[in-house]
Order: sequence, then C-alpha cells, then structure tokens
Amino acid sequence: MSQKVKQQLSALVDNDKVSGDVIDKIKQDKALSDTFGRYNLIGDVMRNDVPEQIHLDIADSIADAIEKEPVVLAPNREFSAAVSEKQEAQEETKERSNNVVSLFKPLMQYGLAASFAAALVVGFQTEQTDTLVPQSQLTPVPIAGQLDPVSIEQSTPVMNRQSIQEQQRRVNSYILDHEQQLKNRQFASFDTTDAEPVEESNSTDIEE
Amino acid sequence: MFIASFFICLPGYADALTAKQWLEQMRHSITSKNYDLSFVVISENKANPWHWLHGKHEGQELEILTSLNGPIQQIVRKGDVVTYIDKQRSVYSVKDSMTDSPMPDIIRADLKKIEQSYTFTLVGKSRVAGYKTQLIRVIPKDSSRYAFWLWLHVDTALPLKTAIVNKKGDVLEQIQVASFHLLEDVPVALLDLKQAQLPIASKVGASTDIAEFDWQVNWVPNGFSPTRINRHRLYASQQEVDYLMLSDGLVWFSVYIRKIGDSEQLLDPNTYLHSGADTYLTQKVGPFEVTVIGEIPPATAKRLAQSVTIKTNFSR
Repeated sequence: MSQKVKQQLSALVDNDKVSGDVIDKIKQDKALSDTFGRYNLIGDVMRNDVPEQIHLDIADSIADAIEKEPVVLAPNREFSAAVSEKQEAQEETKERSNNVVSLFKPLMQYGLAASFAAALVVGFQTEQTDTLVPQSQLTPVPIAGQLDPVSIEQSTPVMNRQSIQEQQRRVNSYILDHEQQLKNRQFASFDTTDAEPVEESNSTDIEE
Repeated sequence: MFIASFFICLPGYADALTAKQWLEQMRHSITSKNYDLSFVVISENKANPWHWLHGKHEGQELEILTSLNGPIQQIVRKGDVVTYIDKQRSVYSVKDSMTDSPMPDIIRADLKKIEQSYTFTLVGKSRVAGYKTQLIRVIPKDSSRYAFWLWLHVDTALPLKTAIVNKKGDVLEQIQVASFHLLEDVPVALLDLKQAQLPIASKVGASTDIAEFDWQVNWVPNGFSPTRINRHRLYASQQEVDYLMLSDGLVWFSVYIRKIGDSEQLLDPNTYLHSGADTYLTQKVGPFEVTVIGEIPPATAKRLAQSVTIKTNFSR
C-alpha cells in the first residue's frame, strides 16, 4: 500500500476531500479496507466515540485468557447500588416494624433477655463434661455470640448437670423478676384499694 | 434550676456553676429539650448501641429509646407513662415511674435524696463526642456503692458520656454518645407517638408491712431505704418469695428472701455472678435462701445477705 494511498485514506477518515478513486480502491482492496476500518476506529477512540463492541481480531487465546480471569470480587457500582436498594428496602421494613403501633403482636411470654442470665446458661451448656471443675477464683467464662461474659464462683466443689440446670433456672427467674421490678419504680405509691395485678407481669402480688 | 439555665446561656458564667447546679441543669435539659442522640453502652467486652429521641410538645414529654443491635427493644415515654416494648416479653406500660433505661438513673433522680449518700465534684473539662464537656463526679460517701462519672455538654448539660466506677477506679460500665443533635422542633417520629395506642399503664401493688414477715435484714448500707416490700411469685418458676427493694435515690437493688422448706434438698444454694456493674448473689443464710441483685459491689451484696436473720419475737 503506497504512502500516498494511506494519506488519502486518512484524509477520508477525517472527512477531508479525497479523490474519488480512493473509495473504489478501498472497496476492492481487502488490506486497504482493513486499514480504513482501523483508522476509523482510531478516530472514534480519539473522539471518545467507541462502539459498544469492538470487533478487533484479538487472538482467541487472549479472549480465553480473559474468560479465565478470576472474578473480581469487589462490587462494581451497579452491584453496590442494587445491594443498597435491597438494604434500604430491608431498613424500611424494619422501620415499619419499629413503629410502636404495629408492634403489639402476640409476643413471647418468656424469653431470656437478661444479659448475664442468658450468659450463664450458654456458659454452662458449653461445658462438655458432667461435672464442673471447682473454681475458687473468679474466672471469666468465654461466651459465644452477643452475650455478656460472666464470672462464676462455685462454692461447692463438684456440681452435676442436673443441679447446674436447676441453678440456671433459679438465676434466670430471679433476674427476670428483678428486671421487672426495676420497671415498676413508681414515684408515688398507690393505696391498697387502687392496687391491681400488674398486667401480664412476672409478679402476682399476694396481699395477706 | 431556672437560674442555672439562665446562667448557662451566657458563656463564661458556666464556669461559675457548682457540680450540683450542673446536675440540676442536666435534669432540666434531659426532660425539656428536643434532641437526637446515639450512644453505646459498653460493659465488659460488649457494646450495645442505642438511639434516643426526645422532645417536648405542648408540655408533654415524648421519648423513644431503641436498641440497635439484636432483637428490638424500645422504651417509649408519653408524658408520665413509660412503655417497654421487648419482642421477647410482653409490652408493658407503667405510670409515674423511673425509666428503666440503659442511661444511668441519675439523669432523672432526686438530687436532694442522692446528696445524703454522695458528694458532687466538679472535675476538668474535656472533649467528648466532638463537644466540650464538663466532668462531674458523683462520689459515694462510703465504699458500699459505686461512683458515677458524667461528662456534660457545656452548653446544654446533656450527658455525652457516663461511667460507673468502683472504688479502685476501674470503669465497670460506660456509656459513650456517638452522635448528638439538638433539634429546633419536636421530631415527626415523636409527634406520631402522640397518636399511637399504648397499653394502659398498670399500677404497682402496694407494699406489705414489713411486720408481716418473719425475717429481718440487720445490715443495709447507709442511706438505703426500702421502696417496696411484698410477697409475690416469680413469674418464671412460680416460686413464692418475699421481696425487698432498696434504694439510696441513685441505685435500686432487689433482695429476695425465701424460707427453705424442711424437706427441701438444695443441691447448691450459693451462686455468685457479676457482669459490668451488676452483681447477682444467692446465699443460704440460716433457714433462708437470700438473693441480692443490682448495681452494687459484690461485697455489699454479700454483707447484706449474710445479715438476714429470723425474727426473734415474730408473731402474727
């Protein structure tokens, strides 16, 4: 391909005036036609006008290599947007359930919200043996999940599983009751005629 | 209180306030201002974030405290009624009561009562949650209870950090505010609360006369007096217990006394647990099983439990 033809080709790409026979030559000459295509592409790239798919003759091996490239795990913008939309939707539902009015569904009557009570239960249950080694000093018990670590002191040297469970039940019921009592610290006390059983409460007052 | 709020509006005069005036101003601000606070309760190696929205609308206090981790727990105030919403328990309202919130009780406590057992001390100023704060220490007059430290925002006296400290100076539990906004208007979420249907406030049963019981507590830390005495069944175990709540105006703790049956075989009557500032203790004392629970030092709980005896001349 002559330098002159190339120049004319370039001129054609740049929309400059070229002699009419150049176009005919491009039509006939495969090599010239390819060059024209590449020149056009270079122009497109320079004008930031790249088509969505560039059909370059990239070797199959390169394409394969790209195919086999490990997936990048960092989320792209689209992905993050989709995720955050999901999160927002979740938060919306959460907010709705936060609403005071909608919360009055049947609720579990008895749960282990008590921090260290629950911790005690888990702490003991993780123990695999049937007996607990005597602990003369305060030893923090590692607790899984969200629970508080607690320190446990056993006064008797050996406890069997049954007495541990018995102790758990006892500790839990006392702590739940204590928490309930803290909610009932009224400034002014009501007189006896006014007293009525506390609604759905942990305590039933017994007047003697 | 009015004078305190007047002074505090003028920069420079804030320096002239006493520790008690700071605490009075704190109480005034907590109950009257519109604010949006996020804070974290740090106890042992656990951190629990909470959101606190408060406003005063047409003379009525409106407030929502929401736990942000784990199952939702909410404490809602509408005027003098406080409602506890806990997915694991029943929804429950109480009128005219101290809020059992993650914030220390001192924020709404009666300073006159507290003064009998604690001294209020002005310490230095420091930066907390991005704001200038004044540190106030509420120090017990004896070692039977814990000290409370409060870092108060210099402009409003709202607490931006609090700590419960033992006599060695170890911080047992602290609250750290992470974000803090004073609001011009009452937030919409609180105005919605005005329309919300909350359970009817239940009334607490009256106390039983202490003479009705066959036990006596021979040692109580100075300044603590009974705020409730009764006999009731523990909800979970249906166990009948005698109950005594003691308070010095700043701390409330529970004492449960149960007479051990003659044929009853206790596998292990003694248990001792603590978590942050909380102490749990069960001990066999004479014919009784005594349980003490609350934010008091273990030594105090133990001494009190061991002081329980049978009434010598008990008769009905």
